[in-house]
Amino acid sequence: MSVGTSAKPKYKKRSQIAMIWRRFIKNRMAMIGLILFAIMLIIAVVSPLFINYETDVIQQTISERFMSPSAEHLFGTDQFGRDIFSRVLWGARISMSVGVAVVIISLIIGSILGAVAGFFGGIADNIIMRFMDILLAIPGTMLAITIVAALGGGIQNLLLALSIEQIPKMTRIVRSSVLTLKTQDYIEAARACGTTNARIIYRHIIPNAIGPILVQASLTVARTIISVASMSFIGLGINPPEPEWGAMLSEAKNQLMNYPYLVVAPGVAIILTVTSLTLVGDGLRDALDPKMKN
Amino acid sequence: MDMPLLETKGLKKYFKTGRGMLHAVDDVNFKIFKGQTLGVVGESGCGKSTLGRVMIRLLDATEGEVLFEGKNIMDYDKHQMAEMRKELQIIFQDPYASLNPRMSVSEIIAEPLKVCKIATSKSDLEARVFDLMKQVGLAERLVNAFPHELDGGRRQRIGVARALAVEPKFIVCDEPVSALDVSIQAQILNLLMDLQDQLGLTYMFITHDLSVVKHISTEIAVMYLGQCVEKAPSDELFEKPLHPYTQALLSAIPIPSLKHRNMQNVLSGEVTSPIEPKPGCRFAARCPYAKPECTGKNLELKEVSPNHFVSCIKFQ
Amino acid sequence: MSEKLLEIKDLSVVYHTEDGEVYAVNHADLSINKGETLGLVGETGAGKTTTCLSIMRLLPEKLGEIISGDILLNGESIMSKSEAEMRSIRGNEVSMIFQDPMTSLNPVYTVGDQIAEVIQIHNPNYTKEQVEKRVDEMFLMVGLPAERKTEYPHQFSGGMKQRIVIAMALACEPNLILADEPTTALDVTIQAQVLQMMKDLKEKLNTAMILVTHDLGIVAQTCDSVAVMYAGEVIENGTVEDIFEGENHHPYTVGLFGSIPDLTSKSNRLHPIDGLMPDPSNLPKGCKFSPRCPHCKDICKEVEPPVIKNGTHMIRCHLYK
Repeated sequence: MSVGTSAKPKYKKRSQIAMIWRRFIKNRMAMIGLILFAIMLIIAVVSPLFINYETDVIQQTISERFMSPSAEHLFGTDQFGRDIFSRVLWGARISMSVGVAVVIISLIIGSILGAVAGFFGGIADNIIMRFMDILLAIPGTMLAITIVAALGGGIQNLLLALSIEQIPKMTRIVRSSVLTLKTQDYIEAARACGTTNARIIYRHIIPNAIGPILVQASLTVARTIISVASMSFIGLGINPPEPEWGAMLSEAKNQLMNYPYLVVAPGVAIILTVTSLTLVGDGLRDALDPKMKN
Repeated sequence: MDMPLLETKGLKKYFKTGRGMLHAVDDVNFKIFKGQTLGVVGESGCGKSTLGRVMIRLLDATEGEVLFEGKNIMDYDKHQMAEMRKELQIIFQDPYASLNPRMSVSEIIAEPLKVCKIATSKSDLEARVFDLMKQVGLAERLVNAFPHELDGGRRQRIGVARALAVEPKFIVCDEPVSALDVSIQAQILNLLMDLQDQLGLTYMFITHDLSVVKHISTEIAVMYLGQCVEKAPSDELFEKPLHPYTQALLSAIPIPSLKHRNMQNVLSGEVTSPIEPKPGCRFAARCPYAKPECTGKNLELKEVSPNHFVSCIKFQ
Repeated sequence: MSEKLLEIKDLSVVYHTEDGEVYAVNHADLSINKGETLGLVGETGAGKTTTCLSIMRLLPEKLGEIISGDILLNGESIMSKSEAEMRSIRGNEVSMIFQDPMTSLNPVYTVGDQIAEVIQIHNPNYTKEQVEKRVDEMFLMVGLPAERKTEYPHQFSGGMKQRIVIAMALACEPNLILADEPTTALDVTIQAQVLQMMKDLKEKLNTAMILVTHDLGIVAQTCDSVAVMYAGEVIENGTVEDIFEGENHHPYTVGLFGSIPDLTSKSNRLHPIDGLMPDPSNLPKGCKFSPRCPHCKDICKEVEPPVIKNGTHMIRCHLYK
């Protein structure tokens, strides 16, 4: 009996992604986080359609200073008469893109370093991890401040500084999951039939390590957004008049006693983004566990 | 006499540890003939699993040779070894850890076929996967199931199918049934024996459970702290165990019959450390018959009757 | 006739899980006399551990629920006992030994302290010297040198750890010990040592024991009576003579015996039971074993089998009506 020769497969293949997605949507908190994050992402992407950067975001209109929230200015205006609503929306573009860029950079570098250290061990592991230990020994924010202070401000140096802060964390996560996976029997079974190292990494190790890495990535975006905000708050991040959330908070802090509403919008924006990403990360961790029931 | 399918000569595997060299496998010599099963029995830490892995060169030996059809595979380079992998396979103890949780049943079984480039086309690959599943008694409808959805017995069948995929001549079975329930154990043991009859396979069956090994083995080697202390044809070993350790192991098995109640002779003490062992009989510390002469000098495996080897001062 | 220590009547336990109700124990009846050892035999998922946890009233909260039946200890129902009363029963009257000695000891306390704690809890008026003396006695009893009481769990081997766990269970001289696969994690020669020790201690202290195991060999060597469980039911029950030497057996018990490699016979093939354990959230109608039974009749698929009693030997099967 030859079953496999028929053109139509008799049994439907089930995709892992569909199974993971089914588990994810069952988790209510994770879905709230995902929807929230999706809304902010969409806003960040489409905001140029209805906001003009020049006129709405950075143009100063002295006659319209410190206006309370109204129908025209939803969150009011700041000390330069700029519409806070437009600025917060535009700020999402900056925070999100910096967050995503930092994750991509640290994910790529951290994964390669972590995989090499974990998989090959020995000297490579020692050199990489000791270097990472040095980076980890310096408090993250201080490291970023030092780099920016040394190389000067600007978005490029900020990206560099924040990535260097995140790379050691990513490397450690990848290394530890590779280390536990490496000793699994199924890796040994793969070796027993002559599977090459490269194939072992992409067929067996990556699919199983992706869970903790994705979780870490979503949390890294959240952390980076906070880091950008704090760097800008102390004046080492995104420079005015760019509407970065942390920079907006920094500008608003001098008026806090008189015009407290100034801090509400950027503050809430930071909290919402970070919370939504944390919820997504937690949900992902559960959904990616292959042992969870559907 | 025929050439053995597999032979080890002075095989040693040491591991470096913080407290010195761990002698996991220490000078093991034996022959396995085609179509036969060598049972390797011993308690945890006696080096039986390490031995199994060195035999198929999943680990490199510290010293010694493993001859497959007369050629030493320890000398093989990467390419020769890659060819060799098709002949030597392994089945693992834990059917949970030995299957990639992200792969479906068909992917797991197809993987070795792809790696060794055995299947000629996609439809050939699919046909082979279904054939293998049938061979090990897995229902076709499970082809897209994931390991965590199956029970231990079915998972172990997947492990067997994966090992069979490359059509090996020799399979190391590393405690393949000890994680399973009794009724399932018997199913897997029967399956392994049927496959041996059908395909002419040669097994090395590693276990801590003497009662399991009797049924499947032609010959049994008893290991203690990295060394083979006794080796004999299966029936002979059970009828006439010579080494005190083998006797103790046999008497420790609880027999499901009331006639044997209160007939155990219980061994005192525990397995000593395999790190930097002193010369002499390694079992001496627990042996009820130990004499001062037992320590100090290493013993050889000695043939006391045809094919019955034992390493004990009583028979030197 | 000897006195009944524990009686379980018509016990049913359900686990409320996300995937529905799991029927772990179904109308189980058991009893054990003072000083007797009962072997509770069955495979994974047969409900052995759940039965023990029910006796301790330690089922996971909210998840596990006793839906029917009664458990009598010394003729008194424990179902109506308060949590405080249960606490004094646990350890004093009934104590439990778990399967894995590696995880049942706390790694940050010395083993002596852990045994001392159990003694103190149940004997609050003991002086420090009395407690220490008792700890030394316990060490001696399980065959360990008392000076090792100041060491930590990781300094002991698996067999020694299990001895310490047993010492903890015996420290307050309970009338009943529930031993849940106490030797499964140990090597054969160590298993023989531990079982021998448990047998000696039981005789010395006249403690009753429920020995949960899947190994019929251990049952034959150590138990006075046997209960075979399948899918949450006790399907056969009797003295060891009934089970190992009696004529009639439940087909599942026959299957269990067929699955064990027999060291005394020459035959090579084993006779396993076909198929798998039923899913406890979706049990078959009628006899739970009917889908795997070689003697299955029409009636087995419809009607729950009756309890057939022949002296001390009980079988739940349509075959012997």
